[in-house]
Amino acid sequence: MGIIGLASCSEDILDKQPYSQLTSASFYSTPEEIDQALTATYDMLQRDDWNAFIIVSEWMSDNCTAGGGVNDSPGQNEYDEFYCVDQDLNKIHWQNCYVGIKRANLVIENIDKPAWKSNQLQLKNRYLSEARFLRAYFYYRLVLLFENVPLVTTVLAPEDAEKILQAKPDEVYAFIANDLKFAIENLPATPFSAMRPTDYGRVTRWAAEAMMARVWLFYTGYYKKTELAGLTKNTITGYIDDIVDNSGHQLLSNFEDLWLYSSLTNPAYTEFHAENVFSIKYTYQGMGQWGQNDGSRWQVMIAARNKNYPPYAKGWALAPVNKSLYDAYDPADVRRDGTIINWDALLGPGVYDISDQRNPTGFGWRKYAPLALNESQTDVESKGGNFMIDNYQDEYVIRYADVLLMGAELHLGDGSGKDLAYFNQVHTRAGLPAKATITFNDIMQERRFEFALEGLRYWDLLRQGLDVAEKQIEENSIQYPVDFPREYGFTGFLKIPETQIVNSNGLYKQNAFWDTPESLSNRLSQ
Amino acid sequence: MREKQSYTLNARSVKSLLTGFLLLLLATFTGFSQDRVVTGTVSDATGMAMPGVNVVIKGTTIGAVTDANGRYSIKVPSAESILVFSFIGYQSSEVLVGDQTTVNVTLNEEVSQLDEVVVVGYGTMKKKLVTGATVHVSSADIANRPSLRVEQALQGLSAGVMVSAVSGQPGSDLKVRVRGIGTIGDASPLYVVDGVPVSDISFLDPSNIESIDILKDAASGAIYGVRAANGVVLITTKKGKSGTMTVAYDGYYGVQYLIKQIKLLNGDQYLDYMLDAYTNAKKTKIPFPTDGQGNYTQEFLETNTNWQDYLFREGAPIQSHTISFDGGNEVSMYSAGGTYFRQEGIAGAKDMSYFERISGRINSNHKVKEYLTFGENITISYKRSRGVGVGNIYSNTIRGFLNASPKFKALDTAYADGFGRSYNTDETNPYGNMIFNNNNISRNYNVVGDAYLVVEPLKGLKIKSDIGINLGQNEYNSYTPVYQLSTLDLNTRSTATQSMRRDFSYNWENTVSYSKVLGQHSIELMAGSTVNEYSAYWVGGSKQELVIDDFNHAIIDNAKFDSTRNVYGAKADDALLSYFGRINYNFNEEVPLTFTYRRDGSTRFGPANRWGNFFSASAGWIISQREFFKNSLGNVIDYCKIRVSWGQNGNDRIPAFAYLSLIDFNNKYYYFGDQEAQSVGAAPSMIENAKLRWESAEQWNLGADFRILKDFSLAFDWYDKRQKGWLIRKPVLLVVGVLSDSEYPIVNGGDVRNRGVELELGYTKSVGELQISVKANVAKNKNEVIDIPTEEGIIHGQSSVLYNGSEEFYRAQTGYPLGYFYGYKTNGIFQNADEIQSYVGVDSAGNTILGSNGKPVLIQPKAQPGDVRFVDLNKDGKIDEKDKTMIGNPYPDYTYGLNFNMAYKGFDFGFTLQGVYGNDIVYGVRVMDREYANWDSEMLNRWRGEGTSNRIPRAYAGIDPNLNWKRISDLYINDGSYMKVRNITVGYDFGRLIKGPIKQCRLYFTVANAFVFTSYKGLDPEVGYGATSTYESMSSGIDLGTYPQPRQYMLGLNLKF
Repeated sequence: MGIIGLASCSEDILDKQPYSQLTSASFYSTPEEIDQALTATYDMLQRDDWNAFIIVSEWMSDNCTAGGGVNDSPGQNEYDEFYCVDQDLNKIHWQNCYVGIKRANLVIENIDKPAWKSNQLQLKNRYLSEARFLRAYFYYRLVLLFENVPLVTTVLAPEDAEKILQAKPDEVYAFIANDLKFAIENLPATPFSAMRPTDYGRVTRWAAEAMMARVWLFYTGYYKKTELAGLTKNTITGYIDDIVDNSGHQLLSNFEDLWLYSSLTNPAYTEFHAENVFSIKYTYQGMGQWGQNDGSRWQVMIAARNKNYPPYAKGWALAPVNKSLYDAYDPADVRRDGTIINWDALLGPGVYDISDQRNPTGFGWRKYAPLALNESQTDVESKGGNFMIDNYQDEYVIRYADVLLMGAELHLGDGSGKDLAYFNQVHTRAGLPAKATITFNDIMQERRFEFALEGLRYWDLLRQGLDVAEKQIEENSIQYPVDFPREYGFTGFLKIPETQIVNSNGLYKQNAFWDTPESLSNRLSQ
Repeated sequence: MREKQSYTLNARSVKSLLTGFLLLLLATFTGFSQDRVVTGTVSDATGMAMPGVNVVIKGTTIGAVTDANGRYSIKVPSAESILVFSFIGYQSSEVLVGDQTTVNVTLNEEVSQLDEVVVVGYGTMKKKLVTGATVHVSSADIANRPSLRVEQALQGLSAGVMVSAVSGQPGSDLKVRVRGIGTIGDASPLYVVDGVPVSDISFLDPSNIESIDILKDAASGAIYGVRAANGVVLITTKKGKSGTMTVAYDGYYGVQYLIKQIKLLNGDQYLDYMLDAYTNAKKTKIPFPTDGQGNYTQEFLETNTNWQDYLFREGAPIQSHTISFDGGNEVSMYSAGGTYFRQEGIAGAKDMSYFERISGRINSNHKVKEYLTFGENITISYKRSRGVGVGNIYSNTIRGFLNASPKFKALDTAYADGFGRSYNTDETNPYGNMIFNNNNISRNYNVVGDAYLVVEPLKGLKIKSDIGINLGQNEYNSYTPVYQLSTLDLNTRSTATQSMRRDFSYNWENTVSYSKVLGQHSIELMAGSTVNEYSAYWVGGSKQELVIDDFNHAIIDNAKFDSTRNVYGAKADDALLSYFGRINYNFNEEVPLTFTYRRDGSTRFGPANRWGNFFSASAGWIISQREFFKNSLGNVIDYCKIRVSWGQNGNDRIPAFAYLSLIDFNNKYYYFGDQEAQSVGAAPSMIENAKLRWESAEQWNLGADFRILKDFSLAFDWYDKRQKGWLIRKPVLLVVGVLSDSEYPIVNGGDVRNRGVELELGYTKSVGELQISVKANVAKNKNEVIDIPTEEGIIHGQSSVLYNGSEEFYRAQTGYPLGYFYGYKTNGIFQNADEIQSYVGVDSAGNTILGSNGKPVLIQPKAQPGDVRFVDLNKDGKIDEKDKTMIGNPYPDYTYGLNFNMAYKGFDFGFTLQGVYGNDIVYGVRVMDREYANWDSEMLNRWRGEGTSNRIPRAYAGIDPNLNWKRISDLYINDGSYMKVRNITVGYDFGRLIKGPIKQCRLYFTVANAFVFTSYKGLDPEVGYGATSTYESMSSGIDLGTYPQPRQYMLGLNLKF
C-alpha cells in the first residue's frame, strides 16, 4: 500500500495554471489594464466584415447597385434589392456590435477596480467616456440596421441573455443619448490643435457631440419626434455650435485631400487633419494575417474588377456607382470626380473589363479606392499586406463637413444666419458659388453630394420618411431597377439573423416584413 | 428506386498477378509415393510450429511426439490407419493416412476458447469468467490478411464495434465507435497499448499485435473511469515465448485502383444543361467564349475534360515489410522487430498523397528471481506523410475536381504555369490548385514504451509498478508559391510555414493484487493508483518571399520579407490522478462477481468539481455447470453463461481551463496616433463555466454466451447506455457578445441514450486437414437524445457546411438521433401551372386557408412548372422554417460482418464481409452557390417538360425563386447502406514442400475492398466526413467529395525460420 501512498503525495500536480493568459478575476486592476480593455473595444470597430456597415448602407441607398461577378452569391443583390434568401446574411453585424458592447461593458463595470490615484481621475473619466461613446456607437449601428434589438446594459451571463427581450427603439435611442451625454460632459474640451498626436483616433468630446446630433436627427426624423431623452433641438444645436466654436476642427481647403488617392500628388497627405472628427482606423500592419482583422475588408470589395488599373488597385467591383448619382452632380462640382471614377473617361471607352461583372454601371468608387503601384503590384502588397484584407484607408465616421451640414439643418430658418454660413462653407469648397438662400431639400441634396459613398445616404433618406426613400431609391436605381417593398410592409430595416430568432426560442420577433413571402426573393426578377 | 450496382474486379490488373500464382499452386498437386513411414509438421493457426504434440494411431498405443520444429515421424501399419493429433487447449484432429507419406496438420485452439485468457483493465482473466461485454481478437484472427492499420484489422470482426474510414487518404485516422455515439464531442474510445494510454495508434503496425481486447460495456471499462465512456481498446503487442526461437519476415506489395468514378455531366451534357439553366433563369448574358460572330468557339465546343482522370492515379503502390525475432528461455523472453510501410494515395499527383512509417519495437520480460520479474515494451516510430485536402468545403481537393466545369482544359501550354483557365474568371483550375496548394509535409517521431517491475513476496500477492511514456515530436512544413488561377484563387507572395510540436506524457501506475482460493471460493483483490501528466510545447511561424523559391527551400530563413514574419508558440499542461480497486469473486467457477471503483481527479475541472467517482458491478452464472442443466440440455449445449453488468464511466475531454475566465491579448490590436503604433487590447477569450463537472455514462448490459454441439458458439448482448451531462460548447445568444464559436461556454449538456442488441455466431470445425471457421455478427443500435439543456431542447448544427450560405441541416434535439438530418420534405415536381395553382393551403382541420383577398392561399406562389413541391408540414399555407422535420438518420439500423476462413493441406482461403444498413448520407458534393459548377448525371433526368421527371427539378442558373436546392430537403438524402467485401485472401504454405529450417513459407494474394454493393451515387458510401467545429462534432454522413477507399491487390509472403 506504500506505493499507492506515493501517488497521493502528488495531488498538487492537478493544480495547473495557464501560461499565456491572465484570468478575469485578477485583470482590470490597473489603469493600464483598463486601457487594454478599452483598446479591445476599439478593435471591434475594425472588425467590420466584407459586407461592412458602410457598404451595406450604400447598397440600400440610391447611390450604388449590387455589382460584383456574374457568379457571385446573391448577397449584394439581397441588400440592394431588399430581399433575403440567406437567413444569416446580417449575422456578422449583429454579432460584432454585441461583442463591442460587451467589451465596452467590461470597461464600464470594472472602471472602479483599479486604485486610481488622485491625479488619474481625469484619465479614469476619459476611459469611461470613451467606452460609453463606443457602446453608444455600436447601439447606433444596431438600431439603424435592425430597429428592434435587445438592450444589453451589463456584462451578461449566458442564462441571463435568455431573459432579455427586444427593447423599444425609444429605449435604445434614449440609452444611446445617455451614453453620449455622459461622454460630452466628461471628455475634456481639448481643441484639435492641442491634441496629442498619439491620441488621434480616440473619441473626443467633439465626436460625442456630433454623434449625438446625428442620432438625434435620425430619431426625430424617422420617428417624427421633437426630442430624444429630454434633449431638445436647442440642446443639440448647442452641441454643434460648441464644435464649431471651440473644437478647432475645420474643413480642409481641398476636398480631394481627404482621400488616399491624393497621396499620389500631395506629399503632405495625412489622415490626421482638422476635418477628421472621428474615424475608424485601418492599417496594413496585419501583414496578411487573416486572424488579425486590422485592415479593412470592405475596400477590396469596391475596388476595380480583378485587375490593377494604376493608380487604382484590383478588387471585386461590388457596389458600382449608379449613373444617376454621377449625372446629378453639377459638372463644376469637384466632388463628382473626387468621389466617383468614370471608367470610360479615365481609361478610354471599353478598356475597363466588365465582361464578367454583374450589373456594371461604368462608375466606381474613387473615395476609398485602394491604390496600385503598377499593373502587377498593389500599394498594400508593396507594404507587406494582402490586397484583400489589409487595405488601410481610415473610414470617416464623422467629418467636420457633416458637423456643418447638420448645423445648417438644425439652424435652418432660426434667424441666426448660421444655417447659410455653415452650408456655404461646404458648398463653396466644392467649387460652387455660395447660395443666398437654402431650403431643407438643398441641405439634403448637399449631403447627397458631399457624403456619397460614405454610408450616410440611406439613413438620410429614411429619416425623411418612407415616401421619400421609396421615391428616390426607385427613381435613381433605374439602371438596374429596384423595388423598395413598402407595399409589403417594409419599414427600412434589415432582417434580424434568422438563427438568432430561432435560437431565442420565441423570445425575439422578426421584423414583420421579413416574414412575408415577398422578402424571400427579388420581386423584379419574376 | 435506384438499382443496386456491384463493381467487379479490375480484370486487367488481376490477371497478371493471378496467373503466376495459380501456376505455383498447380505445381503442388503432384503424386506421392507409398511408404509405411509418415512424417509431417504440426503447426498452429498462425503457422507457428507446435512442439510436444501427441500423434497417435487411433485404436493403438503407437505414438510419437513432435520435436522443437513441430516435426514428427511415425510408422503406420496400414493405409486405413487414422492419425490423431492432440495438444492441451487445442482441438484434436484426425487424419486418414491413405497413401500419404506426409501429413501436415494445423491444430486450432479449442472452439470456445473458454480457457483463453483475456486482457481486462490492469490484469487478465479467464474468458469463461468474464462478466462484462468484451471482445477478444487474437493475432490468429487477423494474421492471415494484411491490414493497413490496427483499427482496420477490427473491421467487421465484432458486433457493436463500428470501424469506418474517415477518408481514403493514406495514414488517415479511422473512426472507431463502440456502441453508437453518445457525445457531441470526441467519441473515440480510449486506447491503452501495453498499459500506456495513447490518443492515437497509428504508430503501431498490425503485425506487432498479439491481441486486442475491446471493453464494450461500462462495467468492463469502469476501471478506466474517466476516459472509458466511449469504450476502451486494450492492445497487447507481441511477447516472446519460452523455448521457441523464430525469425520471421512478413511482407506484401500491392497496387491500388479507384473503384469507380462519379458519373458527372460531360462537356456536351454540361453545355446543354447550362443553356437550359440560362433560359429558365431568363439570363441573356451567357459567359461562354464566342468567336465574335455570336457563335461559341470551336475549342470551347470541343473541350470535354474529365477532371477525375486528372485526380485519380492508377496503380498507386503499397508495401509493407516486417522482420521479427521472437524467443526466450526460462529466464528471459523477447520479441523484437522492425517494419517499413508505405502507401501512396489514389488521389492527387504522384507523391502528393502518401503515408510512410518506419518502426521498431522490442519487448522483453525477465524472471530474475522466483519472486521478481521485470520487463519493458518499447515502440519507436518515424512517420512521414503528405496529403491533399480532405476537410471542409474550403479545404477539400476532391470536391474541386467534382465541381469543375468540363469545358476548359486541365493543362494548357498557352499559359505560363501550364494550367488551363476557365472561360469564367471566377472558376479555378482544380488541378492547378492542387499542385500549388498541397505542398506540405508532416513528420512524426514517436516513442511509446513502458518498463515494469513485479514483485511476488507471498504466493498470490503481486505488487506491480509500471512507468510508461509517450513522446511525440511533429514537424510540419509547407510552401505556397506565387500563382493566380482565378479571381479569388491566388497567392501574391511565396510563403514558407514551419512548425514544431512536442507532446510528452508519462503514466505511472502502481497496483497490488492478491488472489486466494478457499475451497470453492476464489477471490482476487486489486487496488492501485496512476498518475498521468501531459505537456505540450509548440512553436511555429511563417514568412514570405522566398529567395530560393521552391518547396525544398520552404524555410523561414530563406524568406526575405521581414515584416511578414509571423510567429506563434504555446505550452500546455494537463494531469490526471486516479485511484482504483476491484474485487473478483467466484464460486466454484460457476458464479463470478466483479465490483470496481475508481476515483479520478482531472485538471480540466475547477478545484470544487475536480474529482469524480465511478462504480461498477457485474455478475455471471455459468448455468452449464449445474447438474440439472447437464442432465437436460448438456448434450446439446456444452456451455452456457448468462451475465449482467452495470457501470459508470466518465469523460473529461475538453479544452483546459474552461472553468476559468481567461484574458486573451491576441488579435485585439488598435492603432492610435499619427504613427499608427500598435496598441494591444485585452478581452476574455471565452465564456467560462465555473460549475463544469464530469460527464458520466451509465450502462446496463445483459448477455449470454453459449457453445452448442462443440462447434457452434453464440453470444448475445443487450445494452442500454446513457451518457449524462455531456461536455459541450453551448451556443449562446449572440447578445452575450461572442466573436466566434470557440468563445461559447463549455457546459454539462443533456443526455444521449444508445440501446441495442448484438449477436455473434461462430462455427469452427476441423476435419482432418480441413479446417473451417465462420464468424458472423450483427448489431442493432438505436441512438436517441434524451435531453438538451437549452430552452428549445436543441443544439443547432452549423450553417455553411455544404456550401457558403447553406442552411443548418443537422442538429441534436430531444427525441431524435444525435446529429439527425433536418430539412424539408418534398412531394414531387410541379408538372404544370395548374398544379401550382391547386397547391393551396389546407389547415389541420382540413379547411382551405383563405388569403386577405378571399381566395385560397397558394403555398408556393413563386413556383414555376418544374420546381419542387415542398410539403407544408405545419399546414399554415406557406413554406418556411416551421415545415422542416427529420429527413434522414446518419446512423445505420444494422451493422454486420462475416468472416470466413478455411485451410486445407497448406492452402488457406478467407474473406471478410462488412456492411451497414439503413443509414442516410447527405450528398453535398455540388457547390450550389456557383452556378457554373458541374452536376452529377442524375441531372440528365431533370424536369424538361410535363411528365419528364417527378424528382429532379428544372435547370436554373443561380438561385431559383422557389429555392429548389437552396432549401435543404430530402432531395439531398441518399440511402447509405452498403456491403463491402473487405478482403479476399488465398494462400499456400510452400514450407510444407521445403525441407530444412523453414517453418513457414506462405505466399498469398489478397484483394482488399474487392466488391462494393451499394446504391449510393458518390465515390464511396463509406463517408467518414462530418462537419466539426470548436463547439460540436456531432454530424456524420456528409459527403462533400470523399477521398474513396481504393481497391487493393496485394501479393504477400510470410516466412518463418
